[in-house]
Amino acid sequence: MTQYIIRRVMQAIPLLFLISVFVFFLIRQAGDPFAGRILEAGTSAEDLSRQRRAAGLTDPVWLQFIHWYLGDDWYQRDLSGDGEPDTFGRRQGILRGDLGVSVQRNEPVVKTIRRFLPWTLLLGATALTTTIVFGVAIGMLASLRPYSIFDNIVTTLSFVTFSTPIFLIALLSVFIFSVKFREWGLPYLPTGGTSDWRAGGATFGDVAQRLILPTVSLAAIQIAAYSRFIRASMLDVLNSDYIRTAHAKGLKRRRVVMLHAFKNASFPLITLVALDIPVFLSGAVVTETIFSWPGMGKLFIDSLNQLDPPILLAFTLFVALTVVTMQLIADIVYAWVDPRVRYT
Amino acid sequence: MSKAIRLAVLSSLLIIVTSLSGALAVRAQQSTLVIGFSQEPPNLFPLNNLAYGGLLENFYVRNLWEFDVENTAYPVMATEIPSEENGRVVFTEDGDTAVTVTLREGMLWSDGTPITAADCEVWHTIRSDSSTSASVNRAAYPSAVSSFEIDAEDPLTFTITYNGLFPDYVGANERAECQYPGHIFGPMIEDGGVLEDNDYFLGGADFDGLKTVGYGPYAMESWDIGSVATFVRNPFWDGPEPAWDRVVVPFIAESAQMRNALQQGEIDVAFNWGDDQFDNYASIADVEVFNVPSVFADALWIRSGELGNSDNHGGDALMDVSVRQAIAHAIDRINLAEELVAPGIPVPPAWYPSQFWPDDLVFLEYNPDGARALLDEAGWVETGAPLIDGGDGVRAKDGVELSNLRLVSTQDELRNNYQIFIQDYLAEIGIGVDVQIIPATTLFASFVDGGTLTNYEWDLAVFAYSVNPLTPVGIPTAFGCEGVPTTDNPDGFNPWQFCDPEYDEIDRLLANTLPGPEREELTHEAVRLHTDFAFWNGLRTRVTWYAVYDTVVNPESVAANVGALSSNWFAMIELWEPAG
Repeated sequence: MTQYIIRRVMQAIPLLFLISVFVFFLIRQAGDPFAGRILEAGTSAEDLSRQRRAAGLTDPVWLQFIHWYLGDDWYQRDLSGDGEPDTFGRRQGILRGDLGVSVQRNEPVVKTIRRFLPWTLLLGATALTTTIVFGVAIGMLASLRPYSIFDNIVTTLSFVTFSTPIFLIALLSVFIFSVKFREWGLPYLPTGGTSDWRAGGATFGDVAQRLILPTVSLAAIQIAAYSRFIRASMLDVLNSDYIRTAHAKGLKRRRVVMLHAFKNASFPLITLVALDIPVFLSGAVVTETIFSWPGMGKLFIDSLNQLDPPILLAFTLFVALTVVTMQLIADIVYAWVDPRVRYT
Repeated sequence: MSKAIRLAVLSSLLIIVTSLSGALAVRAQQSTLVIGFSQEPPNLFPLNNLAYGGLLENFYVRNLWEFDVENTAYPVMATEIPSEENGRVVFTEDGDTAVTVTLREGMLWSDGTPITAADCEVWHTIRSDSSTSASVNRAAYPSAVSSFEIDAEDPLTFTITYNGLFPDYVGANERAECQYPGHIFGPMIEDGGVLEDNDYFLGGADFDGLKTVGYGPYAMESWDIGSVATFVRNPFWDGPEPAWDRVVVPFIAESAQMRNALQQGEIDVAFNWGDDQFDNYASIADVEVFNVPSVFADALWIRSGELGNSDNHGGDALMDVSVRQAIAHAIDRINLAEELVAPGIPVPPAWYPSQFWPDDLVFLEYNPDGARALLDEAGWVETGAPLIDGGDGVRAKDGVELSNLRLVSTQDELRNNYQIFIQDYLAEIGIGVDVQIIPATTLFASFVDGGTLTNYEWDLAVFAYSVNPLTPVGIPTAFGCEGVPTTDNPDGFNPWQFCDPEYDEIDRLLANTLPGPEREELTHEAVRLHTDFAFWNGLRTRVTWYAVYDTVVNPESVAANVGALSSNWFAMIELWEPAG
């Protein structure tokens, strides 16, 4: 097991490096983070030039990549513009745990991520839990009565939900549960944010209330996918010989379904959940933007709009690292719960 | 399921339901104004110079003088606006301009510290010395200012001396800045510190529970980055008392959600929303909608020089002013502004602000026959098949077709609509246009970064280039011959290649000529030359939209007390009145 983990970690290093190279040069091609500022009154060419030099954007691209990895605190730049290098950089590089400084926020990227990640963790965990609970329950119920009215309704709804863009689900949910419910005199939900803006502060109730619509939006499509997956998996298992044997032995149906059928049908769910965790952790770009939820997805889209390369790079690395880690964890857990799987 | 688990689940559900029902109850806060912003500034850094960068500062800083909706200056921190008449502007024996400012007595920062000229000196240091910060936009300040002196006998009086004759000391970008507290900012830069590194600019400081120190009606109480900023009354503010105890600014990027939030009463004012949302906001009961012209105007820019010419894109056609005028005449710009934006949106005839226009300034009106005549006269005659039904045949001259002109813009629904209509209008007179949408970070990038404009990979463009409405002096790097970007001049930003030595000379003179008839005539001549070149053709004055609940705020008081300089929208919020 230990050897297996070490081998997988070693394999992940070149993969992450390749991803970082690809992403770095891709983002570098996205243009100049300071470009739009030239259109503002009061910005001189000298100002822009100095800001570009300070951000290291005037260095050769290969050197910028090295600085991103190793830092630039050993490298002098000409910040005064007199042609003579005069100022050492202040970055330490990602290998020393420094993800750089946001060019738009003037803040260490680590600190920025620390602001936004907790909100994404909250929304992601809630949405993932909701997805698993409802997806599994609906999938199981549908599989126990295949081709029944309930199963057909679930199947139809799953396909409709799965085919609907998330922004439409989000805006529709606001329109119905917020706008229309208010019109109809029913208790309604707020349109977005994390707190009651007028009252100030964020109580548990405020947050919980504002968590509902983004959670529903995020989970709806995933529930559709999970329920289809569990249904198919359960149907496979329910037709197995050992299930028939269990029934023949006189075990209660509930015990057969929960202990024998669901346990085996749920093994592939581990992979599904493990692959979804990075998706939830990286934030939901559309959902967080629509609901003004200050998570990683919103940070990503804001940074993309403003072109903030250090944040975009850190975000991408974070996602890549999470995917690799979760895949490794999924493999380990899979083998742990299913003794038939062996490491080679 | 065991009893314990059932109990835990039930308890959790009970807690959630209880908290939800509590939160769903209506909370009436009589003294809170909620203003929805579509864009959140990246930081509080002074003069980061993003158009929306100073939005939050509007609540907690004020200037020596401010500008009202008519862009007329009125004193705020200063006792009076300096002028030759009141003896505060003096021309020295060396030919320099000495401007003396006296601060009003008794002003205090929001932490109770007295405001003195020493505060202004700290900001002078920051603007003069690039080692204090890389990110401050200093513009011409370091070269324009020769000295800053505090009066030896009056700690509230200081004198700034500008090199040579300097007429624009009142202008927004050259006024002496006293917005920031020296006792806070000074220590940040002592011992070689760099200003922008400080947590202060991200709401990380603490001054008795407040996050900023300033001189304004409010002070920042909290800033949940990515979510909401809250301001409370500044107890040391000596100006007019603002009507609300708190101002809350949630950041709502999604346009439909901003509208929903207003309709739900979660916000009282929706600010700076898109032009295409007019009908949506106007249809909300009790909501009044209005706009204020900004300093931006979207225009059709035409690449007018030889750099970038190619037979695949009309050859040298655009170097001919007749062709450029024909393009302007071919587009019904007034109708487009009415139809695509909103009724009454003005179409400016010149890049310069209206107060600098000469009486004889000509707007190139919609006149497709006139456009055809100009093209015929210039030798660009119909040759090929029509580009659209009923349109002229594609025009050509010496075997080069006037087609495939690259019409570029950023990704913006309104601008992209404009592109399509312009394509149609030009097709009618036989000019072929290829519409391209390019990210702003590439379109406006510098020469070395492969910018579309600066590398001449365009022929026509739709975007706005902001103007300083307080001075007739142009922007040499954008409109001077010295600004044409090349390998030898990679920092230049005159990709339209407007290069007229006579204009350059007039612009230089303007920067050193005092207000009066001579300056006025120079200004008019500069505007004429700039406009006659027909490389800039106004499409619409960009406006800032407000939607205001008239049951909460008096809309007239808002409309009369918002700034129009794109940096001072809320600089008079203390004059906003509650409804009724």
